[in-house]
Amino acid sequence: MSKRNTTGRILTKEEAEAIAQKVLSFADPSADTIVNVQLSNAQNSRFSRNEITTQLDASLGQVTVTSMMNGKTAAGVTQRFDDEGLMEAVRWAEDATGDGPGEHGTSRLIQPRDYPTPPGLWSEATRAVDIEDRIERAVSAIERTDGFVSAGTVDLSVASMLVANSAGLVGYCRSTNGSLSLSARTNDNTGSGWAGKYVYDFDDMDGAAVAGRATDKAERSREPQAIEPARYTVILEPDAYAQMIFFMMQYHMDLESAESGFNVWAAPGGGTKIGQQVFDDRLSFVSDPMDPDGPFCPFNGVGVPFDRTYWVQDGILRNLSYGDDTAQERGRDYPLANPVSVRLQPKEGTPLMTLDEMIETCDRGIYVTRLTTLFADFRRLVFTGVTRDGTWLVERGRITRPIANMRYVDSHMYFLNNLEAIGEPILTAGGSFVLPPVRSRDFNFTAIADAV
Amino acid sequence: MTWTRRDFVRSGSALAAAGLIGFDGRILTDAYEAARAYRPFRPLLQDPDVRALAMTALQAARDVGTSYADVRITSGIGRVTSVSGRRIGLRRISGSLNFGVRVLVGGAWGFASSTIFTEEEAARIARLAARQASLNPWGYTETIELAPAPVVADGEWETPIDLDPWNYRIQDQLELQLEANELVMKIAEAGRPELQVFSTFNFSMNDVVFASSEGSYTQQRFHNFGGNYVAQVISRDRRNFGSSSPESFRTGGYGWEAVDGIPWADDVEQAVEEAYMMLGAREPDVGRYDVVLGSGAVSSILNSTIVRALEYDRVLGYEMHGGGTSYLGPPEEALGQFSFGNPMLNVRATGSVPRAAGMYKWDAEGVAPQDYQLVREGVLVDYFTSREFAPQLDWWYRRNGMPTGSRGTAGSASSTLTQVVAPSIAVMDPGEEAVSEEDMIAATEDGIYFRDAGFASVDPPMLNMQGGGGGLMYEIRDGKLGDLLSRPQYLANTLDFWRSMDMIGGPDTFGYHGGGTQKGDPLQLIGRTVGAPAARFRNLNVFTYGRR
Repeated sequence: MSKRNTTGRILTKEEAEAIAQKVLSFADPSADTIVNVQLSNAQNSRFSRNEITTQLDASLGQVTVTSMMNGKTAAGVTQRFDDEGLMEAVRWAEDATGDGPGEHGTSRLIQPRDYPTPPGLWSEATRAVDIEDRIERAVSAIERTDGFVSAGTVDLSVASMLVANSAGLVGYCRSTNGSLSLSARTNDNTGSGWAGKYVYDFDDMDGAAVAGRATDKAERSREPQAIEPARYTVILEPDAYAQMIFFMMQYHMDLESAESGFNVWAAPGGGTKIGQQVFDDRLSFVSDPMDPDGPFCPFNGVGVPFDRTYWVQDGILRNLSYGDDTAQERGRDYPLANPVSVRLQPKEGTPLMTLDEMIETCDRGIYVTRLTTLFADFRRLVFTGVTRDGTWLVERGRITRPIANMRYVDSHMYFLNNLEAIGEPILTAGGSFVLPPVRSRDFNFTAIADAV
Repeated sequence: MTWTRRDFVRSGSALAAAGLIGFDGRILTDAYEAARAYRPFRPLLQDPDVRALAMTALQAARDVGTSYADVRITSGIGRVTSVSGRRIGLRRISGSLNFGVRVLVGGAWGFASSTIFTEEEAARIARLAARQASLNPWGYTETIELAPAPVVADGEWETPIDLDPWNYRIQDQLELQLEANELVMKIAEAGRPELQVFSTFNFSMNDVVFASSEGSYTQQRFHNFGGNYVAQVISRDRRNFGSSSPESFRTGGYGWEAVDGIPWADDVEQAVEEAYMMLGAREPDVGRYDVVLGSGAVSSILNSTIVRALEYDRVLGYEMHGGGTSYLGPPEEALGQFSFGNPMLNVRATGSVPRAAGMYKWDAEGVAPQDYQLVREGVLVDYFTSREFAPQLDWWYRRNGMPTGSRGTAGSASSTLTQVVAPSIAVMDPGEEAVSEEDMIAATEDGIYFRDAGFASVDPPMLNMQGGGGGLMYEIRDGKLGDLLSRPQYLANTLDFWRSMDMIGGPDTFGYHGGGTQKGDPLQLIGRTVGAPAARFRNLNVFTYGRR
């Protein structure tokens, strides 16, 4: 064993499958049983006030047993990989389906199949990063913020997931990722800048370059002046609105909820908005585990494949996720599952602009680095929050001055319908979302929030 | 009347605890099997393996030259069921078994955690924590010295509950939940087909052991009931939406008594009526209003604008890149000097509130939470700290004749994550006089009344807020409630807001509500009850975001 051994451990396919097969052997043979085995390792070096303050290395294992019997479905979850722990999880799941009240449908098991291996999802280079490497990366970022006050984090993770079921299905997926993000402030505490980067291959991470973007923004946002809150054209970096897209994908993509009127895709008179224009026709929302910019595991926790899915195509709502009942009604082999991971893709032939070009062609507007995001109206997907860490006024094609932060009340449901310009989609700093920078009209700023 | 399973379980619960009754009520001769069937959970408090694992980790840490180490071990179980109308959406039982080791080496922290519950792994994790700390190049420049804390060599505590939920089965839980949902379904079937009901019941029990290199060893068993019960209705044109929960539905430090006999049954009709009332609410006219906030609304604003701002690590900038900083600093300029400009504002911390969510006897550093003042007559007098940060306030504590030490406000969302400063239970004191919400409404000419808990969006330094309502909101005209309002929002600077508070409710208006903090990386969500009275705030900017 070399001195600089890595700490992150995952399960190989063989190791995970051995655990899954053991679970299946403990299970009631008359039940349909699904086993999910995960082991991940997360590490970070966190810094504030220009020094590393805390460091973490967490190895978390989990086995989930889903049992379907007597028209009922239940799950048992354990963090133990020993026989006793596995038996316990099986028993919890089976005892909950064994008797007792209640209607609760079961789903068909996913039949044995091969899942694709998404390119770039696993990186040996990331797997090989050791504590020294991780700390060096944090140090290089911190050193680059000399003369500023900085806080941020370097994160690394490796993860493995295996799904098996009593019909013979086995699917295995492993992934790596790393991220570095930080805020830097000027010493007079008037300017603040943020930058972040998410990678699958840690060799692609240049800590000093990310830190340089943050300090540059901090320097340029020194001594901001307030402007009147109103509706302005905005130039949004992809990270500024990634959280809104996350909230939509996480909470609003379910067909049944749309049909019963409770999510944003409910049509006013009844039914859903599927088939209707909901965004600018230059935009599509597509989830694809094979996306070269944002790959993800090609199946969910119970083995439902994630196929390439257009939720929105050329601005028209096409799909919402559904369970096995609907799948059977539609003659499909399995549910339409939502990976909560999406690419916002401009229509082919749309002229794309860089952020600089968006500035150059803007007569008057506001450039936004980052927004805090909280639901103001859950059902209508309306958000509120404030600008943060780098906000400027754009006049006649150039950034003219930093402006004080402002509160907004708005939604991508609106500003992705007021598009003036779109850029090349990039992977956002939180992972999972590949989004373009956009320039939109009439973004609704409601108040000054002039703290840094 | 048939002899239901639940009756059987109740009468047999003493036997069950002794491990003699199996899952389907059969008397089992194999006590081991029966015990595991009824308590499908590793009972830490009796488990000598746990102490051995903790000691192994501490010894391994000592062997590699750490100056301090602590170990936290969690063994837990959770049982969650959700039911929509009559349809069961989820039944899940989750066990957890994990531990984390935190060490100081050369004045720097290291932390590592694992779910592999062996002594070898405990030693590996301790060494890994130490290795990270020893590689921190800043470790020797500003050495961390922990504030002294009493050693608790053999502490035991359990959340006080009436009925142990783990003497009941998931089927019992579902039966009660279906019965509860039926209360709304019956109303729906009597001519209100658009009415829906959703409920989630979530019982958890977590055994947490804390052991430190200084000799503390505490064992705590935390019980919690979480979840919701919501009556919901949507207008035919789908424009308007109403939802409400029965007033007596409670979550927090409860056992089975939270659901036994459906304690909120009498309030279900009221909740349904309120959901329908909300369909008829109109949007407010934009302008300036005096705003009367019920206890829940004050609690949520208090939590978002003051309680979190009192966390000392935020004040130092530890959350600058994440959860946000605080306006209550720097400490040497703020303590004793920073004033909210309102002598009615008194905020204190307490460790003991019956039924509170997140109540503990010892914090994540083994320190008992103290009852102490944070804001006295509008002036900042203390922070939430930890053993790491308390020594930095030595000058202030000495000046005021107070002992320098942690107030017992270190927390963490899990033993697999490192400790952070986290509020204990924060309380804003009610006024001494018996001022009611009705009195405040009667004294208000042109205002808005937010009856229920709402939400608050604040900027990262917590200086600019937008508050909004949940539940019922009314206009106030000439001292009387008028129309029901939809989506009014108030905007304010935090300091202006608290300065504008001119009436404060008496003890009868006081209540406890959900609160807590979000911070750290990975993000930790730490739930803590917050208490506040009702209060009135003058001349706030009210708007609505309307529709397009």
